[in-house]
Amino acid sequence: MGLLVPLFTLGALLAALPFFLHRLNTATPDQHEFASAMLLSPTQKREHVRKQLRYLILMTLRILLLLAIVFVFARPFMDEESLLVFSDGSVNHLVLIDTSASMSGTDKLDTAKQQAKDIIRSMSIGDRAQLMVADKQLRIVAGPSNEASLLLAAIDEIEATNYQLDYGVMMSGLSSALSDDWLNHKIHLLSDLQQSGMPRQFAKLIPELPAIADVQLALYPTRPESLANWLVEYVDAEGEQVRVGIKGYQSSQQSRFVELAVNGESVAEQPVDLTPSGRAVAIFEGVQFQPGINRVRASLTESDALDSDNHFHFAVDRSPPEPVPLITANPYARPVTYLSTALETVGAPENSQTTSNWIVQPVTFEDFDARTLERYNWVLIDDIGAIPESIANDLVQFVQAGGAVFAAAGERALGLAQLPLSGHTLSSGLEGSEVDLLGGSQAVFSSVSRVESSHPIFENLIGWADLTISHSLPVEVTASDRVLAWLSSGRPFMLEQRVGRGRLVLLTTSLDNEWNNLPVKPFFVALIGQTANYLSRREAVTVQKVAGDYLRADEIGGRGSDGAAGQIVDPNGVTLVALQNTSSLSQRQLNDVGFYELHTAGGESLIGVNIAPAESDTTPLSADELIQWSSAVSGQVGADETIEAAGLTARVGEDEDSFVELWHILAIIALILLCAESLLSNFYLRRSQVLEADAAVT
Amino acid sequence: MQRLLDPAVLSGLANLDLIARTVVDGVMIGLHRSPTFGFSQEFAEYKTYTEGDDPRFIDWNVYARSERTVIKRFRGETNSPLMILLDSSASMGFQSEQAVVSKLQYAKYLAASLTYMASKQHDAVGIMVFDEKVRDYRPPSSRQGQLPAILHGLDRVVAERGTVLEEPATQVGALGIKKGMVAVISDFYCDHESLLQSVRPLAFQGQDIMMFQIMDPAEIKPDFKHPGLLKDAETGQVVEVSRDYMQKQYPQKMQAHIASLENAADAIRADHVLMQTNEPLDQGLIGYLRFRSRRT
Repeated sequence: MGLLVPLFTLGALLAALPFFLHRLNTATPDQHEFASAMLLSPTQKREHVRKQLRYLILMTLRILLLLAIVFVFARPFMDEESLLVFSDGSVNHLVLIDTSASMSGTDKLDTAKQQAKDIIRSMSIGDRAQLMVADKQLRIVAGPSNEASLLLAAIDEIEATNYQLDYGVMMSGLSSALSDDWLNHKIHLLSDLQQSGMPRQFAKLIPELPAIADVQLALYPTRPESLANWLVEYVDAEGEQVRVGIKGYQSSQQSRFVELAVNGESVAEQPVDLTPSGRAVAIFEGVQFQPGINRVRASLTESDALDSDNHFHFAVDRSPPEPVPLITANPYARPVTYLSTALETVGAPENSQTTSNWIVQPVTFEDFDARTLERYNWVLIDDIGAIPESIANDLVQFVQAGGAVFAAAGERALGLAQLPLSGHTLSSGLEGSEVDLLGGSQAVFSSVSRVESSHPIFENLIGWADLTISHSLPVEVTASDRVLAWLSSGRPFMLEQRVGRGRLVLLTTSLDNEWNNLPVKPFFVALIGQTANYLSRREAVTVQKVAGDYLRADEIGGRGSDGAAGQIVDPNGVTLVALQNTSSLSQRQLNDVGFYELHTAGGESLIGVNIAPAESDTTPLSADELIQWSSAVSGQVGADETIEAAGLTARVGEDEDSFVELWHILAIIALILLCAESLLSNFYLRRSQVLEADAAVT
Repeated sequence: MQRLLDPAVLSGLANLDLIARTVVDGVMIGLHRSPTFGFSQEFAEYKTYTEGDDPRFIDWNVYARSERTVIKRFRGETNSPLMILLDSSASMGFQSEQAVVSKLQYAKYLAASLTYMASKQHDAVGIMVFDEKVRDYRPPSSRQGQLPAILHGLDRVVAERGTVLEEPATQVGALGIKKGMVAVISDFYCDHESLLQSVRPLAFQGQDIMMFQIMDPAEIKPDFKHPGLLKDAETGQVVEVSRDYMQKQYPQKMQAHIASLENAADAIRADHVLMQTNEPLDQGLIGYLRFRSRRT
């Protein structure tokens, strides 16, 4: 209400006039000085109180009358937003604000928030609104409510995140917000509407709509035009060479400076020129890394439309090779040679960006010391059948505490009914036939017929067809086993057994070239390498993640006797997960851009978190695409209703007309007060005259 | 001459001296030299001069003849000092529409008249003005300047505060004033028992006490047309009263109050004179003379 007018204030002072007049009128005539009240007795009837009350009612009426007259001339108005009440035909507004990383650039988010406020203010009587933000997921911020002030206050609290927005995920999440008790819904999407946020399937842009509801989608592009933006796309380190990939969108500028920082210190800076494809690679030579994990940050020095993608965080592992014990009866046997060669050849997985290798340390049964097992994450066994019972017991405890064992079969297992360590029963019939085959003239060979390709050990592994297996242990699979690969004969080729917090991977054939041709195939190196990474948990931690990704429990967890496992320190140095809490944590979202430190029992690792590259592409959807999207949701085609950016100005202009003038109501109130005042004052006047006449007669 | 004793006429006079003279002269003329109430300069006897006697009355002729200092005494002249106790509490300031002067003003007229009359009789006269405490005190004296001093003091009296009669009565008793007359001028809004207790010692000392109760006619018979609020002039207490009460019950209560005051006065052999402020002052002066004659 616009009442802060000087004339109104002056006019309001008139309301004090009746008060003074009544004070003058009531204070003097009824009270008299008297010599002494010693002989006076108060009357039972409180006449003067009643009289005062009557005067008060009259005075109140007169004050209200004057105020009403002043208000009528002040012509107050009230915004319709304050008069929101439920009524038929009202609309449920779903106001969606894009808070993905791309909205943090320039003034996109401010524009979106202002547009959202305009939408809230322009709601009609009976409408309600629900405020939501969309990035990696859809979240409700406020509402549904018809209190505009609440919603407007909530809009101010909204901030951009580092996440990526997928419009398909966003729209599918809207279904639950479209409640059935409202017939009219209007979805307002305030976003930069990036092309890169579109799902692969257009159908995902259409939410599951209530059967009888009328749903409208209004799109509000915060920046209809494309903005020039550069990003650091990737960093790759090999030896002392670091390659930094740059990509530019809608950029007319063809050169940029790239700065490389290792462990917080700037080590080099060089210009790069974009190729016609919009990409460029900056190659830094002679970069010296420290032993262990290094923090590498590549940055574009100049600011652009989106600053958060001008930095790329990357972890380079220069840790020394990790030792792994190989428990064997004969350190000079061929399986030992094959395993050592394969493991010392293979590097870490490609995505780990590390160069660490393994050093196999053969340990004979005589030299085995169970106390040394604490130093290792996993253990190799070349012939599980040769393991003495005492060592098997130590290894069982090691596995139960979270350790891992890779064991292969061997000749010493052939005569056993039950394998040590794993406890698997060997079926004699199958075993006999295999032995017979071995010595017979007709050799029967098997191949790997079925592989659980989703398992990390077999990920991207090719070459199974080259394998030929002549001998394998007839292991009886138990309910706790997970068979990872099957032979064509129906026997398991490789299985995984969970024991306590650890696991055991058993290869049912040997690692020499007598039972199979596995060790002499190139495939063997990859198989052993991925098995090593799996069992040592190296494969678990992906060293490069996108903001909003989750750190899984198995990435956080490690080996520990007390059930506790890991600790996460975010880029701000805040410990997110304490040790004692880790075991109860299922997953942890990585919100910030930078380096996350992960401390587990198996060692320390570093995770570089960057915003999703898709957020860097500021190319907006075309008008045709927007119309198609809106039409698909709304069920009708109408360019005017689809793109509200231009129409919003007109709508804001209409807001002035949405104010409700109150002077009509106040004029009626003033008239009523005037009538009441006249009637009451006449009544009192007559009564007073009658009393005076009575007194005169007396 | 009665007209000259009317308070409405007296209020038009300039000062208390003139008022007092007018009142006394009016009263004395009306008395026609009554032997009972004699007031003359006829010689009665000679008396040996003693310290304290007014030297104006030394008969120098006798001194010339006999070298003895004697003073002349006249008929009607007695040794009757008059002590006036004037109530100046706030209730005395009350004046209704029916009266032309306030109770205090009326009391001042009365006090001035009594002083003047006593002076003419060569009686020593003193005054004590009180409310809650004694505000002004002038001991009895028959000196020449006593009359104007008392009148001047009366001029300055204003009505304020409450009433405590015990205070002046106690002080008069304590001062050891010579036996004489004590005129208490007040509206006597007090408890009868406490009044008796405070005044009774004076009676025991041999003082003749006159109680002049000054009342406004509206206090005796209020003219009250509407119910309303009455505010006590002394305490500020506001009491809501009905018209019926003020017209019926209050006059009865007032009469009972006056009657009880008369009874109390009788109990200590005091004289109670009720004077309304719209009535002439002669009644008060006649009362004084009656008392004075009782002592001679």
